[in-house]
Amino acid sequence: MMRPTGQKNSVILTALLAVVKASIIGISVVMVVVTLAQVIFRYVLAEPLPWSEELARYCFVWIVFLGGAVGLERGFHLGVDLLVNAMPPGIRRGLEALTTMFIGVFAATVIWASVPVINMNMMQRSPALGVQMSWIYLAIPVSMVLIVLICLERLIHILRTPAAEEGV
Amino acid sequence: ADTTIRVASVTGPTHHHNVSLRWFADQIAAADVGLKIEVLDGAQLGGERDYIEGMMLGSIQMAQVSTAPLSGFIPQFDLFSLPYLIRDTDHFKNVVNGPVGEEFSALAEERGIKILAWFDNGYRNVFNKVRPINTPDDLDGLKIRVMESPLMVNTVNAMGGSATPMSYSELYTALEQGVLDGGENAAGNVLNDKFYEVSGYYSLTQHFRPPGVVAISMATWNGLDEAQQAAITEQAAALQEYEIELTGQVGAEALEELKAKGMEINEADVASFRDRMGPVYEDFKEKNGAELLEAVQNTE
Amino acid sequence: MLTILFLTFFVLLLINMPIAFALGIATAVTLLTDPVLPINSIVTRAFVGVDSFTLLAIPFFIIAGELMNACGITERIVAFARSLVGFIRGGLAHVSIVSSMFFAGISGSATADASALGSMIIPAMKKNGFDADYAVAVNASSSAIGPIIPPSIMMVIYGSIANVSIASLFLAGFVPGIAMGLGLMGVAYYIAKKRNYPAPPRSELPPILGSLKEAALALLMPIIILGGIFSGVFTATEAGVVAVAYAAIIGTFVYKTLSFKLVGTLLIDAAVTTAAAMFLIAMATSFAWLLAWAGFGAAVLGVLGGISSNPTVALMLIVLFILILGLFIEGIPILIIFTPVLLPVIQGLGIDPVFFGVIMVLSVVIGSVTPPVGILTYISCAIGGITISQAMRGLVPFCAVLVFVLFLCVLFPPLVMTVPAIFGN
Ligand code: NA
Ligand code: NA
Repeated sequence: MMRPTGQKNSVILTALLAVVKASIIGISVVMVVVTLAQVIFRYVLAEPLPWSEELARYCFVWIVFLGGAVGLERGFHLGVDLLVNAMPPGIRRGLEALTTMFIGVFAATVIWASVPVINMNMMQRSPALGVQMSWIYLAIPVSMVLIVLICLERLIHILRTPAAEEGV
Repeated sequence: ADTTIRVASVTGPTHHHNVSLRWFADQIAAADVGLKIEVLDGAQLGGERDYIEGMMLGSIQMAQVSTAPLSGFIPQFDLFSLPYLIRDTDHFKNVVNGPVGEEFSALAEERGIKILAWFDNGYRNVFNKVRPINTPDDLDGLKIRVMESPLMVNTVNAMGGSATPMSYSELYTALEQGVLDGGENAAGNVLNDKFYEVSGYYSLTQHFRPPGVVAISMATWNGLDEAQQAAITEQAAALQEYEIELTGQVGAEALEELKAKGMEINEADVASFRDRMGPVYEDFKEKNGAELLEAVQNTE
Repeated sequence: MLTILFLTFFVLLLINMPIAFALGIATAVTLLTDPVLPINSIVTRAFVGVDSFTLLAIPFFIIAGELMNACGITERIVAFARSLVGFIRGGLAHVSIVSSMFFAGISGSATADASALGSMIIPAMKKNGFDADYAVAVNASSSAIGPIIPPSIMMVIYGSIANVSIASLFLAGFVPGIAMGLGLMGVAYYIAKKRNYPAPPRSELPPILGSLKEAALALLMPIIILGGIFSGVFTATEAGVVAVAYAAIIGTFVYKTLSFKLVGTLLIDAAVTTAAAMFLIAMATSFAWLLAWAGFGAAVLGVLGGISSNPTVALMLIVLFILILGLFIEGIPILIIFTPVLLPVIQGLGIDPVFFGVIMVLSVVIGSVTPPVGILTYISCAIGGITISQAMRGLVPFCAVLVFVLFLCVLFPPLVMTVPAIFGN
C-alpha cells in the first residue's frame, strides 16, 4: 500500500510520527552501545555483563514495532499487486480502501487482545534486569495505535479524492 | 468426539520427558474417559516462558516447564534455583510430595496454572573445554554460560568461575568459537545437544537440581468433567513416579555415553563448592525470606 | 482451522494486502473462530517471534551497510570492480556482478544491494548502449548473491529457527555465492556477444592498484567481521555491532562524511527496513504457530515421507516446491513458515541442517528474483524505468543459471560443506 503523492498527514499524526522517529533513534543508539559494551566487557575486561543481552533485545522489540508503524506510513510493507493492477481505477481504489480498513480493524483487534497480556505481565519481571515485562509488551499496542491512526487518515484521503486524480 | 489436550514441551521427541509424557498419554487413552492427550514437543509451540504465559491466558492447554522460567511469574519458584538445595532423590520426592509441594501448587493455582506432576531433571554439573574441575580454584578465569538469572550468576561466580549469561541456542557456537569456556547442565542435555563435541570435560559438581513441572491451564482444567479430572490426577501421580525413575536411569546412561564419546568425567570435591554458598543463601533470604527455604532444608 | 487460515491468507494476498498483514489477519480470523484458542495468542506469538538476540544481527548488519554506503564506499567498490573486469565483453555487466559479490561481503540484505548498486550501474549501462532489460536482469540476479556470501540476514533467520550455528551457515555460503557470480558472468558474456555489446579497452579503465587502495577500507570490513567470528572474539550478532562501530569510525575519521543529522536519518531508515522484515517475522511466527498447533508439520512429513526415502530426490522435491512458492511469495515468510515444518523431514533423511539451510536460502533468494513477485526485480525495474513484463526476456537466462547453481549444490553437497569443514565447524 503505497502512499499516493499529495497526501498530507494531519498535524497530530505528523507530530506523533516525529516523536516516534526520535524515539527510534534514541533506542537504536542504546541498542548499539549496549551490545558493543557486551563484547568489550567480556573480551577486553573479562567481566561479562549479566544484563546487556536482555536490554539490547528489549530495545530491539521496541524498534521493530515502532518501525513497523513508520514503515506502513512509508509504504514499506509489500503486497502482491498483480491482480489489482489489472483492474480499472475505480475497483482498485475500492480494494485499497478495503485493505486499509482491514489493517485498521486488525490493529484495533490486536490492541484489544493485548490488554489481558499486558495486565498479566505486570506481575512478571524480566530475569536479568528485573523490569516489568508489560513495559516490553507495551510496544505492540503502541505500534497498533499508530497503525490505526495511519489507516484512518489514509482511508479519509482515499474517500475524499476522486478516482481520476489518483495516479497510482 | 474425544476432547483433545495438547501438551507442549521444548525438548526433542526422544528426550525422556517426552517419553514420559507419551506414556502418560497412553494411560489416559486407556482410562477411556473421552480424553486424548497429544504431545507437541521440540518447541513447536514456542519456549517455556511462552508456555507459562499461555497457560495463564488460556492459549496453551498443558505444558512441561522448568521452575526457573516459572519464577518470572511466581517469584517463590526461585527457591529451586538455589545451589545445593536438593540432597538426593528421596529428599526430592519428600519435598515435592510434602507441604512444600502443596504450598507451590497453591501459589500456581492463584495464577491460573494447576501443577499436575513434578519432574526431576537430575543434577546439573559443569562442563568445559579447558580442564577437569575439582575445586573452586580450577574454575578460576573460566567463562561459564548460565541462564539469565541473577541467582545462577551469583552461584557460578561463588563457585569460582566467571558467569556469562547467554541464550542456550548460542551456547554451542560460542563454545566452538571459544567465546566461552564452558556451561553447566544435566548429563542428558549435554549428550542431546552434543556439547561433548565442543568441550572435553564434565565435572560432577552437582550444584543445581531444579525440578520441572507438568501443569495444566486452569481454563482447560475447569472445562473437563469429573471423571476426566479424576483420571488425570491419578495418572499424573503415576507419571511423576515414572519420570523420576526414568531420570535416574537416563542420567546414568548419559554419563556412560558421554564417556564413550570421549568426554573426561570426574567426581568433583562437592563439599568445597558447597562451603562457598553462604553469601548466595544470605542474599536469597534477604530478598525472599527464609520460611520456604527452611521448610525444604528441614524435609527428611 | 487450516482451511480458514489458508483461505483468508490467499484471498487477502490477491487484493494486494501487504504480506505481513495478510499473515496477521489470517491468524486473527482463525483465532477468533476457534473455540479453544484465545485471540491474545497473536500478541504473545508476535512478541516471541521478535524477542531473540540472534535476530538482533539483522538491524546491525543493516545499519552497518547504510553507514558504509553513506561513506561513499559503493562508488569505490564499483571503481575497483571496473579496474578488475571492466574490459571483458559486456563490460559494465561484469562490473555489476563483481561489485555485487564484494558488496555481499559487507551487506546482509539483497534488497540493499539491489538498490544501492542498481541506482549507480543501471543508469550507467543504459547510457552506454545496453538494453534496459539486460541491465535490470543483471542487477536483479546479481544482487541475489547478497544473502549467500556472508553476512546474511536470511541465514540468521534460518539459523535462529533451526538452531544451527550462524557461523557455519555463513561459511557454507562462500562457494555457492562465488559460483553464482561466475555463472552470471558467463551468461552476461554470452548475451553480450549475441547482442553485440561493447567493452572499453583496458587502457581506459582505472588502474587496479590505485582503485584497490581506495576501496581497501571497505574490503577490510568482511575480513574483520568474519575473522572476529571465526577466531572466537564475538558471536555473529556481536559481529554485526562491531561492523557498525567500524563503519562509524571510518566514516567519521577517515572519510569524514558522517554528521549527526545523517546518522539520525540512517538509523531511522535502518529501523524501518529492519522493522518491515521483522514485522513479517512477527506475523509469520503467529501463523506458523497455528500450523504447528493444527498438526500441519506431521501432515507434510507424511506426504514427503511417502514419496521418497532417497535424500537427494526428496531434497529436489522440496527445492521445486520452494521455487514454485517463491514465484508468488517473498522469502522471509517462506523461511519462517516452512523451516520448522521441513526440518524434521530433513533430519529424518539424514541431511545436514547447515547444508539444508544454504539450499533453502538459495531457493527463496531465487524466488525474490523470479517474476511475477520478486522484490529484487521490482527494485531493479523501478530504477531501470521498465515494467516487469519488459524485463522478462532479459531475466530468463539469468534466472536459469541461478537455478542451475542451486541444483548443482543439491547434487554435490561438498560444494557447500567443504569450507565449513575446513574451519572445523
Ligand atoms: Na551478504
Ligand atoms: Na518470485
